[in-house]
Amino acid sequence: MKKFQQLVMAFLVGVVSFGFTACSDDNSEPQDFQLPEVGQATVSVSSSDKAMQKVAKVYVDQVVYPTYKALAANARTLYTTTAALYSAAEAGTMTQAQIDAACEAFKDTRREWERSEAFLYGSASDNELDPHIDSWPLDHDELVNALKNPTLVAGFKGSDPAKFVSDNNSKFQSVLGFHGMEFVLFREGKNRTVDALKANETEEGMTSVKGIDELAFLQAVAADVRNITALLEFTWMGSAASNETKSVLSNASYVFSSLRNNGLAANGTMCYGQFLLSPSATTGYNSWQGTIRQIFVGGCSNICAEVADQKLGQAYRTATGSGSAEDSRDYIESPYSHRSFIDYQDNIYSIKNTLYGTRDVNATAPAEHSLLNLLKAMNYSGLNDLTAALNKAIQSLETAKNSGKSFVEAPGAQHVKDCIDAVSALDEELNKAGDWVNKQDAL
Amino acid sequence: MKRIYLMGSLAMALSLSLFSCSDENSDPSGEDFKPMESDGKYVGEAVGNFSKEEWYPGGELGTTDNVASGCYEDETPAVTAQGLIDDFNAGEKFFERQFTSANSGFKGLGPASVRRSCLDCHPNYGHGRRMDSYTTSYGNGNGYLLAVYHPVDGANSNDGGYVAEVTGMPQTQATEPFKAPIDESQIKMQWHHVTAMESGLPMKFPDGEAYDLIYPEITIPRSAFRTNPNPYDTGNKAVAVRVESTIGVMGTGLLDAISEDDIKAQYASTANYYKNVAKVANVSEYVNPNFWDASADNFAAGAWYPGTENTGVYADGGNGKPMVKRFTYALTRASLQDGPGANAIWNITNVSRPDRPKLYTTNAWAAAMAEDKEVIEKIKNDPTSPFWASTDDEISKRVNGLLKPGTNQFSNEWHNFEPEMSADHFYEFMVWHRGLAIPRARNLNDARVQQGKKVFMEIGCASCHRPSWKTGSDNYWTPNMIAGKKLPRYANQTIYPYSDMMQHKLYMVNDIHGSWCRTTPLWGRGLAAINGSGVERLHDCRARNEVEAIMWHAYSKNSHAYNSALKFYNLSKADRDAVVMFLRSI
Repeated sequence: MKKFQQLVMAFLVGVVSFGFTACSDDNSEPQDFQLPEVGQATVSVSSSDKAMQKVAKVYVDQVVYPTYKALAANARTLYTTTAALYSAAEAGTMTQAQIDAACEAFKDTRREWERSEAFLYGSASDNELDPHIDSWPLDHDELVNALKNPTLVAGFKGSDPAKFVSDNNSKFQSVLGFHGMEFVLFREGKNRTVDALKANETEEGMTSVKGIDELAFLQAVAADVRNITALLEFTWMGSAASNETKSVLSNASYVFSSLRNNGLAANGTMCYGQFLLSPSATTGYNSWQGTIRQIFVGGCSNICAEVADQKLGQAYRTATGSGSAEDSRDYIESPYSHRSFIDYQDNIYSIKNTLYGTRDVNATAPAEHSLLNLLKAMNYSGLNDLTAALNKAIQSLETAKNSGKSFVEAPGAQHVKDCIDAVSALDEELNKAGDWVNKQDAL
Repeated sequence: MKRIYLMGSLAMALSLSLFSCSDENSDPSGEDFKPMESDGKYVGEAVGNFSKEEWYPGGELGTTDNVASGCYEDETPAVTAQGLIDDFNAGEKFFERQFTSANSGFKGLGPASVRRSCLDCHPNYGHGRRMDSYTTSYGNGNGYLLAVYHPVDGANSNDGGYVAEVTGMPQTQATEPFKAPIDESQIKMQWHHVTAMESGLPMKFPDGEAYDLIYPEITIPRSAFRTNPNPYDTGNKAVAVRVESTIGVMGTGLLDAISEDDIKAQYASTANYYKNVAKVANVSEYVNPNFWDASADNFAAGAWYPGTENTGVYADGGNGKPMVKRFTYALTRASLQDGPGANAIWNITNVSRPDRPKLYTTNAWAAAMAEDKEVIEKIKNDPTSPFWASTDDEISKRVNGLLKPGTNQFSNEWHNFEPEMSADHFYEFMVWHRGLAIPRARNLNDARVQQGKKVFMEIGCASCHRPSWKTGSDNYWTPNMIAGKKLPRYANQTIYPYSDMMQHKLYMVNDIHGSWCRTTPLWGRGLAAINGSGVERLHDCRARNEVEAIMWHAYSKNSHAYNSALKFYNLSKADRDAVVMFLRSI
């Protein structure tokens, strides 16, 4: 029924997209399903483009698109490795190397996700894909109930776990995504072991859960994440998305069923890359200055504030007593893998990538048509302050990473406060730059 | 400035394409898709028919300069200036995170819930989205609440008392081992097209451009109710359903700062207009008699919210008194600190706190759960459950007792739970709630926006969508549990919410439950799209864009806004577009 309604609404807004005509609710994949037709953005820089336009194009083409492509590609690998791990466990041949491979694939996928968070606006936000794959805290009771439910476990182990998760997650929606997978793969900062996953769960209140069922759950959730990350790539890039991503989505038409306008921008007429690069009265961000400000503020500043005030701040305030007395663990993302600082540094790298116009996090010089060079060309007086704040934020998280204590082990440490201060300072500089650009003429 | 009068552009055609049923899309890469002039140089200056103050709809203390995505999340300048930023940040997490059934920092979900997080209903802090089906899930943007009632005509009247068997905000979720009072999968939601306006207006503007109006029909069958008795067996044995969407939460603290005297003056002025200028036969048709006694020229008893009396204090230390209702479509709440958000953080998730020791449930649901063999069986198999007992009968008694709304969860004969949200956390949540800013206005320098304002005023929209108020001393009320603790304060601010804070009637088909609806503030809504919130308007999101919203005001000649909407109908396309531009800019 959902598919039928989607089809009707797509027609209403004038988007001719779905090729399938079936209105049934059955589980068979429509044979003639075609991806929504949306076109793609023009991202090649033209000499006639305005300077801000060139910068926005390079940002979309060199930072946003390849990040989402890498995210989707790594998520495909993650699914493959977790599916292999589960199969091996079922066959009684599970090895530590297989577990380690899944853990590495998780880290690779997680890294690209965190490095996409300076552009959570657009599809990730509008389509609520961020909460779908990155919600926390994990509801242990919900996970236990899901893994003790024979129907759900059978679905995780079934022939199409991704579709099963998509259709049946109302009873385990809080444990979807990265943190559900993290819980299965890691504990106390280390990869789980063969023995641990052969046995029952050891977490308090969860000891009735079997390791094999956790692994089935893991590969089912990984399949769902593979679909959602493909959706991110497709909705940003449109027809320029990779063939692999198109293939994933072509086999998963159901992912569109809960989305409005097929998850696309401008009432379904544009991919998000095109939307960002089409400032006008009714699309994009009105003006080229507005587009640049959106990248600075709506993108970079937003994740900066999130890292400083929420991701780091909540647990720090609690641990140091300026917040409330409840334990701080519940306010920490990635508590099982102990990779919180790595996540947060990747968030800041996503800002660096944005400012430098490249995905090389070690870059020492910004790309020709980068935000930093734009500011330089416009003689922005705060440029040095901005780059200094960026470097300090990255360095503060490097120090935290090397402190010998994970965030969850020492949430009230001085290095946490140093990170908060440095990231907050960067946030301030990003806002200053964004506001300043908005007041300038469009070069 | 040459772009300013570029009417009929493809850009505008795209923006308004929603009310056309055609599949002729504009080419978004076309030549006419031109960037606007940035408004950056004009912010804070008087431009055209806008005063400099109008750039800051929340006043100096309540406006954020941020107009990029995520701006709905910003704190007001007052939060920072008054030293409340840590509490604001701490409170934010309770809005954004999912509550859990397990013991955690977000514990307390259920046993029955409407949603599991605030964000579920307020997508990216803004307005709910129009849904094709009533499905609740984390962050899916469904901001609808169900209104389930016995229609007075036994059929489909808008009016009638809520059924007593489910909660006023009915729950479609439950934590194990319980079952939701309403089986969500059985809720049927259909959208119909208006084929003819009751007012007789054609479905095309005089210039030939068509518009399309849709409206929802929602039904819930008998079999969906897991209550004893079933609402189809009580009252007049008829059940009707409406949905009401959330509006954005940004800027609500500023509305709390409007003085009661000023609200009273607005009622008096409106009533005086109908009585002495329009000279209508029945003022109560236009000014809700439950709230205003036109003959006495004063508030009616129903305008006063009694729940603030002796249960809290004002910022100046004075003891709480009954307060004038100003929040929700139905005008059911007075102080923000006992308003929809303060209530929702308890009853949407069913998270208890020291001043809310009882569950938001019904006796009918408790009875149904106590009789449900599957529920009993699951509890019997889980000796760790607080509902567990040695016999089925005893389990049934405990379920019935503990799920009843009258049972004190912290002190009863079966199991004493601990409060799930502390007073400190509730305080942080209220700092956050009252501290949310309204974004500054945009593009007031644009001639189309200026023309839109001119037309908006000329055709009478501002009669109900009152542009501005000046806040009073903001002597806000707080419940005793957090009495004396400082909240963001907005004294003497000129604000631009575009609402008269009163109710009116639009006489739409399948209208809002209760027929009367508070004028929804318009401020900040133009940023819904880039914030990823619902862009739809009206109480059930039936209007997919601004033009549809306005034309719904003309659906019936009985609509209180009919004359203004008729004038809109007769505008040129350029002026209709200008009004839309204005609405997206304020």
